[in-house]
Amino acid sequence: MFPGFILHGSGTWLQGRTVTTERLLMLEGIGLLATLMSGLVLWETGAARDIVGPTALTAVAGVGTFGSSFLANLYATWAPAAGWGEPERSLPLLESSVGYQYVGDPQFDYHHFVTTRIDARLRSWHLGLRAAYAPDPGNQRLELLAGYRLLGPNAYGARARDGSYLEPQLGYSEHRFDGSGFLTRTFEIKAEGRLDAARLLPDVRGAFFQLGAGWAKQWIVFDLPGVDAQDSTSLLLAHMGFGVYVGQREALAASGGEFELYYDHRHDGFAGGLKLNGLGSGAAGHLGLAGHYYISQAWGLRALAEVGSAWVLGLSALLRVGTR
Amino acid sequence: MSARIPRCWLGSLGVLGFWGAALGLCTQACLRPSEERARQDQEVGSADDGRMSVEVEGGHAVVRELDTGYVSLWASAPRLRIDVRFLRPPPDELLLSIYNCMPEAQLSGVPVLQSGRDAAGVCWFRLGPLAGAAALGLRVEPPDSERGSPFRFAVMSDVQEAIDGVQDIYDVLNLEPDVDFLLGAGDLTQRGTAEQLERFQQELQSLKIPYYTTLGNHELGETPTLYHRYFGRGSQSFAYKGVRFSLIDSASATLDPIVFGWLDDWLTLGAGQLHVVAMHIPPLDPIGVRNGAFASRNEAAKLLARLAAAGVDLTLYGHIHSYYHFDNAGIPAFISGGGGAIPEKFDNIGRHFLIVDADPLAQRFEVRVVRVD
Repeated sequence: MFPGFILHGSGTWLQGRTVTTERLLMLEGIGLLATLMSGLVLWETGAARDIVGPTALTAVAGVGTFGSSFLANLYATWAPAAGWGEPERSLPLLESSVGYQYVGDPQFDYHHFVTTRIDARLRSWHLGLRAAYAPDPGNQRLELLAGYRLLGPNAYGARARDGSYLEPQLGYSEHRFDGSGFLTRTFEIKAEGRLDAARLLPDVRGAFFQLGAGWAKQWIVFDLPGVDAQDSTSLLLAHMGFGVYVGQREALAASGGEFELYYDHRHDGFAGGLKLNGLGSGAAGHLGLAGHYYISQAWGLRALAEVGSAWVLGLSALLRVGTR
Repeated sequence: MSARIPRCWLGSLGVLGFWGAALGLCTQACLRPSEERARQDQEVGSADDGRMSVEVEGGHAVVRELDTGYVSLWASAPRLRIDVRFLRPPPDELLLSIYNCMPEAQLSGVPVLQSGRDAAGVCWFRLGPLAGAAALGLRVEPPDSERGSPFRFAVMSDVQEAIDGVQDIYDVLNLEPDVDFLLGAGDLTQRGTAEQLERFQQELQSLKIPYYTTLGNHELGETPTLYHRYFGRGSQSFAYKGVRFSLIDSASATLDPIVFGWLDDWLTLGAGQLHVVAMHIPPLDPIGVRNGAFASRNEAAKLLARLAAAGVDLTLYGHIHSYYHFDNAGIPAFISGGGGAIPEKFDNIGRHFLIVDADPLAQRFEVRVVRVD
């Protein structure tokens, strides 16, 4: 494991897997180069307002690529040749969940949320609704999204080659903080994608790289006696993760799912950005581990753990219909 | 199959180990990185050597030295209330020396035998005779500083590695007429080492006015933070000529809940007065995608809602090495990071400081930028 920290692909090199080793090293190099170059630009320009957006995105992509390459390097070395599972090559028409979410944020009194989520898909179209509700003190978050699958698995379409996909999305969220005198509204545009590891690392099966990038406009509306104010700001959206499929998904009656370890650059939502001891607090987003597992064709569980400005732990029951 | 099981487990353990290590770095301390500093704040201004104890109200000064018949303070506010208690028979006289004091400061509460102010801005007062005294209640402040009247102060932050050129800024600032003090919004040093903090205080000797500040993220390079030993509280509040100033420690891109509690009290004290709130990292960055701001947008909004509800009149920030003027929650906001640290390019600002005219009678502030380069 230790050599792999420094030289990604050390393990596969010892196993004589040359192509995978070269690709892992290339990923590591790209990650390092992107990080160093963007860091240099940020340093030299003092994070100048007109160039900081794309530069920060490059920095996140660089660090994310380095991290994903490291995890892929561990997976490639240790996982069985066939991996632990396969992706789903088509998606259900309707997927819904109801669950519980714990939020441990030292700045807010809320902790316990009821969550629900519905994703409806028809061929390449995707509509999503997510809601979280804490009764006392009142806090509600509602998210809507609309997406279109340009590539990859969809509902009632042709079966995809693997789990890789590309889906541009529009999103809107409203988060009410009844006890704190404000609410936030966010409109976002982003692209979400996945690349199955085997496309890049030919002998690595059952894993994937998850990617996302976009931009959001956020409005903070203050709802206080005598205060008529609204702030508008923006958010850089970036998501980099590495995940693993579990279960033989081709046989739909069989159990299976996926788990992803990720970095998400969002500073809003429940997790917010990481707070760090020392000089660098505030700039980074949050870390997360999320996954779902279907125990039958219809029923499953989803779990979530995130840490940023707050701990977020969630567990939901899943029900899906319209699988092929 | 049997050969696969250990590899599966190893793989799972590898991923979980990475996750565990990442989360392990972010335990509860990570959610409240400034909690220890808030607790350090509570210790500032108190000292006891077994013979004499000193308590500076509001933690408005650091007790630098305490010895028989001698007390030395570093002032971090313009008006000081000092309680001295003698735990043994008092000395005949007490010499009180105050670094970073207001030029016109006068001491009341006990007879002053002799007083003066040296070229480095140190006020000293020889007090006595003290025979029979068990306690002294001292007030050190400029005359009429309790009463509301117009005055002027300056704002500068983010010097960091540019300390070698800070005298350029002080030269220009010394030419500005009628400025009562310089307010700092953090990042005095590059890493907050003892040498860097001492150097900053040495450089201040050429400034004709005192410097009151909070800390920035660049003061957090040493653990535990040394800032409090040299400059005092990271979060504090004082009143001067009818205006309330609240300086808040946001150096970790968050406010500790302890500080939020203090802030509520200070917002209550500032009700009906002009109120300036200053901190290093702004709740919101006007360039949102940069996020030189709080780690949590939700916390940022919570803080701004509190400030707006309390009628805060002016917010001052550092951290971003440029100049921005905007409104947050309807409150005028200024970011002034013009102390010389790596400047934001293409902004045509360069090194600068702010001059703020406060008029508590008319209930208004006027802010202008003074360029140094």
